[in-house]
Amino acid sequence: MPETVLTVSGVKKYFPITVSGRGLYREKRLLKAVDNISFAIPKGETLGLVGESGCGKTTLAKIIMKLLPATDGRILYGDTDVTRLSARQMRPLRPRIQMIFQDPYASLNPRETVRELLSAPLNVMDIGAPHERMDKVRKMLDVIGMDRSFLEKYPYEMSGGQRQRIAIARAIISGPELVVCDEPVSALDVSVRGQILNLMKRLQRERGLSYLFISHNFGNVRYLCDRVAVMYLGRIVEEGTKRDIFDRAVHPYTKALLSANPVPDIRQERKRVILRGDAAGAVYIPSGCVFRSRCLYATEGCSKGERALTPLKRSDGTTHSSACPRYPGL
Amino acid sequence: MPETLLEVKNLTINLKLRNRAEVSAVDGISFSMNRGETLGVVGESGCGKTLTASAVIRLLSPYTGYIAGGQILFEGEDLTKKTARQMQAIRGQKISMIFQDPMSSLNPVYRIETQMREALRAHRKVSAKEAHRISAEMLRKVGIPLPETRLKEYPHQLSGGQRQRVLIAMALLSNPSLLIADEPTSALDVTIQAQILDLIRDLRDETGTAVMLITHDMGVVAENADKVLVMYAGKVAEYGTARDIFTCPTHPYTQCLLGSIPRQDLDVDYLTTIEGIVPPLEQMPAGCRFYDRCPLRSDVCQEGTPPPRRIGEHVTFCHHASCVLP
Repeated sequence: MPETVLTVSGVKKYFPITVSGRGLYREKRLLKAVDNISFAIPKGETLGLVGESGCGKTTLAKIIMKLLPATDGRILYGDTDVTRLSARQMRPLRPRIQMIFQDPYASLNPRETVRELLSAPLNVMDIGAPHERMDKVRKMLDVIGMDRSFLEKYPYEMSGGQRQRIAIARAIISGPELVVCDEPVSALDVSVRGQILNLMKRLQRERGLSYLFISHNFGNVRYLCDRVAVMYLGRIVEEGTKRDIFDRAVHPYTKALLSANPVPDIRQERKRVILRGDAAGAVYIPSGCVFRSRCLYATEGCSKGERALTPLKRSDGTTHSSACPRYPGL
Repeated sequence: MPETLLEVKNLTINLKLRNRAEVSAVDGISFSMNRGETLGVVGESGCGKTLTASAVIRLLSPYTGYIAGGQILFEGEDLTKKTARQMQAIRGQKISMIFQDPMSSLNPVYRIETQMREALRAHRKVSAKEAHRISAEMLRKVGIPLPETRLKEYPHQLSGGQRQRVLIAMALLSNPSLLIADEPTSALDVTIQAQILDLIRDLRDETGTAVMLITHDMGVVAENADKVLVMYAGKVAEYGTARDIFTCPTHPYTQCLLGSIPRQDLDVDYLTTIEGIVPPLEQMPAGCRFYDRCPLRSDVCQEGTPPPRRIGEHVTFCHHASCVLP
């Protein structure tokens, strides 16, 4: 049984919001950004989290990083329950989980040099003897394939790809077990994306890292992930191994996402499923199956009671779960 | 025999830099489009895709750049020779353009109806009542439910996909013969992207409008374009039918680009990447502009721009071009 680096169980995040009116006449509702999500990430594995914008991917990442308090549920780093820990109590655990953000133009302080950017995590988390830290920073540059002449450079002197390399170096310099990556390549140019994805894959192999890889791009997810969870309106609607999701998806939403994503191959005649409308807002969630309002296969039965993520029978013993109420009828 | 709609010959666009030096951001590119055809223009950011499109619709700001040479023949007339006033009759009437970010293309303080009426009245004398009727019909055509209600709303009340539909509706009001779509779906989710691209394709088939589709997404091009123009650093790398370019890419840049994209339908262990970055405009190599990053480079590549070579149904600008199946 491999060691688990992160366990998320029954996590919910509700935001109270005013939908209309003022004062006494306010109509309040709960925006269910994340609703009852559970998963675990074993050591050295990557879990991909896919879904359209607004489905709660980033909110979940923030809860895992303890940047937002969860409304309900538990989060465990390894065996340590961090759900109720204060910011101070979190400090010794911080080196174990780090994060990479989408936009390396915003995530790096423009007034700091690479030397300062990379030594900051070591200083803040008090890792290694002070005189050894510079050595670590230099070695880190080698690891991410950047020349040491970059030490004295500022972010504005670097390209997007180089900045994202620095952001990755900053995340892994403290030796984390898990890195939460929120759309790490979507702000980069097409030719640079491959470089960064390759780097992430190599780092994972060399260091036994685990990733929670948040993306809306199925190609990136297939390249990097072992397991994939598909989110829709704050819930996971389908979860399984890479093969389960890409080759034998069962949820209509997953199928629609896969067919909507264009593939650069002209020889394939692909059958397209075009979803109607936009995702319903997370305030007025349909009763029953959340995907009901856009689903091409929805029947009356789908409006009755929500079906929890249910494991499907697979002969090879892997778990592949779907929340579609019509499975296995479909 | 399909009729040629647009023919761009040796188009060069110069940009003025801060130190008053001039660089050719688009350097001698040529391509053509037939009526009712979709041309995909692909390349990384900064390769001149948007500049080329802006030149065709003559929206280049005189302070940043100008057409330094070449011809843009649209329906047989050279657009580079047109005066600003003459262009106004063509722009929005015969050539329309939609942009990446639908929110910044719509004015947030006017209702959809007002903005559509303005677009309509720029070219035609119509009464307010008539404008309302035409606008509502157009919105219905682009698949917006309850068009009468939407007309009374402001842009912020619509979703991203709806806004892009409104822009497409506005662009198509005058039934143009060329629609330039500059990254029309990059700001949208994949499911909405599929809706919008389908809409553009349906409208093209119905009205015979040619579409210049600018994108950095090879998948979008493969599924939508008839012809493809691959640009790199302001020059054409490869140009030909989509079928030819995707089944047999000959330029190393196209090959690398296709190899560097992770795909949802294939398992790969390692992506081929293009090392380095596009050289800055002031430091373009004298020969082939892809030289520094090219896996096939040799001495001959440094001697001037590679001449065009015809392979199958397309033209490629590389000394070492050969057909390699991706």
